Amino acid sequence: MILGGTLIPLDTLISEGILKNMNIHFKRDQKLKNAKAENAIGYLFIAPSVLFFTIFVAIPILLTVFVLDFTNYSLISPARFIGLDNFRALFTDPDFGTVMLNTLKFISFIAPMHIILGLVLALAVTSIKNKYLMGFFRTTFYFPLVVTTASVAIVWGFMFDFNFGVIDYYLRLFGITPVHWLTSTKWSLLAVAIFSAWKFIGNAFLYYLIGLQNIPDSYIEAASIDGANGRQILFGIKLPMLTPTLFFVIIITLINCFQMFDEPYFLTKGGPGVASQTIAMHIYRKGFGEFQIGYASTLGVILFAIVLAVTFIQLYLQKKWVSYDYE
Amino acid sequence: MVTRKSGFILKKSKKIIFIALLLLFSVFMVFPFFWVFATSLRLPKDSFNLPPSFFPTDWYWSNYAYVFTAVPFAKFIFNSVKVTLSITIVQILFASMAAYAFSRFKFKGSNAIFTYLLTGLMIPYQSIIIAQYLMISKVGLVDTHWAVILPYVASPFSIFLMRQFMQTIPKSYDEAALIDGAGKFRIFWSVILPMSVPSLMVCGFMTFIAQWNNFFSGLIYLNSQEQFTLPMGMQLLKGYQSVGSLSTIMAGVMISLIVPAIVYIFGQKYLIQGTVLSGVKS
Repeated sequence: MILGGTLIPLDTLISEGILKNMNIHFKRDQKLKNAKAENAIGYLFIAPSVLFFTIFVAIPILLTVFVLDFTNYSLISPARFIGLDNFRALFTDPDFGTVMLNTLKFISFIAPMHIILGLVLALAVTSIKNKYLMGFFRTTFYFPLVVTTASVAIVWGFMFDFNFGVIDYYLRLFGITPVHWLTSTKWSLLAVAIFSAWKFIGNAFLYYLIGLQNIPDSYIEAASIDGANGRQILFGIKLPMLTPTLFFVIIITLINCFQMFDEPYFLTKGGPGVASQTIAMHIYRKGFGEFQIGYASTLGVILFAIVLAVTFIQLYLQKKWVSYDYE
Repeated sequence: MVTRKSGFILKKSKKIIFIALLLLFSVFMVFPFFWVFATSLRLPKDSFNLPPSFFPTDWYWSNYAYVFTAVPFAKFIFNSVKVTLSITIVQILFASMAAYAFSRFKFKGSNAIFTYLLTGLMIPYQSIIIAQYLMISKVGLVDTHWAVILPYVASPFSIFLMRQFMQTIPKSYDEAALIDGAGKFRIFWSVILPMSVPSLMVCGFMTFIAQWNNFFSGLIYLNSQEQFTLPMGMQLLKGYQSVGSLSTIMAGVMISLIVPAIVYIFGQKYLIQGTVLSGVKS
């Protein structure tokens, strides 16, 4: 376009803001185009994960929470809507209370083991100067966690045996009355808890170890130059800076205790009776043993609700006592 | 001077006690493995003998051979390796793709979708197993390896961990590659993925160990012996207790520990380094 028959110099156009505007329009268009392209590529990259997550996790949990737990369904007869009957059945189920109490007992044994002993071990191991000794301890503490659970459970099953087990052999040797670890109502829960603590303590230990390694050396150096002793460094620097890890370990330990299945299944099958049965095993027994699909789903909802509650309580508490000021 | 010296000795002896306690705890952690090894090499008729031995007294290696004839043990190992590797590889691929998108692009609803995936961290597997079983049996996949592989290929935890890691990779790498004419796929494959190896290794290691140990989904979905994974196979082998050969079972246990032990030896370096999540910083 020729304006007034004369060629207007380019810089005038620019100063008039005309080209500037054109430029902005051009950029905006490109940005819009880019945004659209980014949208498409973004969706493409997340599609596989979102698809499989939706099919195998999201839909099942929605089905469980909104449909199955309100039905009476036993695979042989079609599902029938029964409202809240399954939730009422929780109170008449003689085993439900025991199972919940078992979980609390497991927690009261395993949680201190993992949360406190794991911390003590990690603090101890990081204070060792010798690299090889440190590596040795790290490996031995973590190794049980890695190896096939089913196999080491069999091993512990034999070690707990009354007649030819290693543990009762030494109890007899030291003049202590041996106990029926796996077959008595009194001891089976403790046996499962000991096995679980042994198997999984490496997890908490490793998280603490990583947390401790993340504390900048300069902090500790500065403190020791200022004359702080070991105890002051521990309580003044290491522990406060470890609170996020501590918080994480507590959540993980509690949630894992609620979901415990393998350990009682392998060692005692939850027995004798339901003496060492967990809620996860109860779901399995009701659902796949007695085919009470509806009731088992209700138990699943309860388990889900507990895990959610634990997580949210912890998240709330976290705000209050976890210090995140790393920088 | 004297006090200082005695203080030094006190400190030294304190340290020795401290290391001795740690050693004692290590012994507690590993003694079952010594007992397993010693027992696995005993004559079957001596296997229940007491006192227990923690070091081999016999060298009866044929127990190991017998494991493979007593049950289809080689098949179990093969199945476990197949299932575990499939899940690990596919999950790492899917998770790294998603992590790349979440850490790099601002697309519509990305935050909402990310939150949606993260809720998966709070859902216990046993809570959904009933509904998931109904769905999988509806499409006829029960008693196939698909049933134990597919539910695990999307992992919120791996996505989360990798996204955290990828966010620490400076955007300038993407821009440099873009100027060189690379597309988004190319940037992902040749720039971001190679730089994210530590986090890939961590996720891969954790997934491998978790799936190698996964007994629950095998218990639910696999019925026939030729589909059994190793944890299921171990239960079958344990049934040989009635035959009276503890040695054979322990030999099976020893063999079952080989794969995770190897993976652990190679993976532990990454486990410590990678979880620290401090790879590249601009």
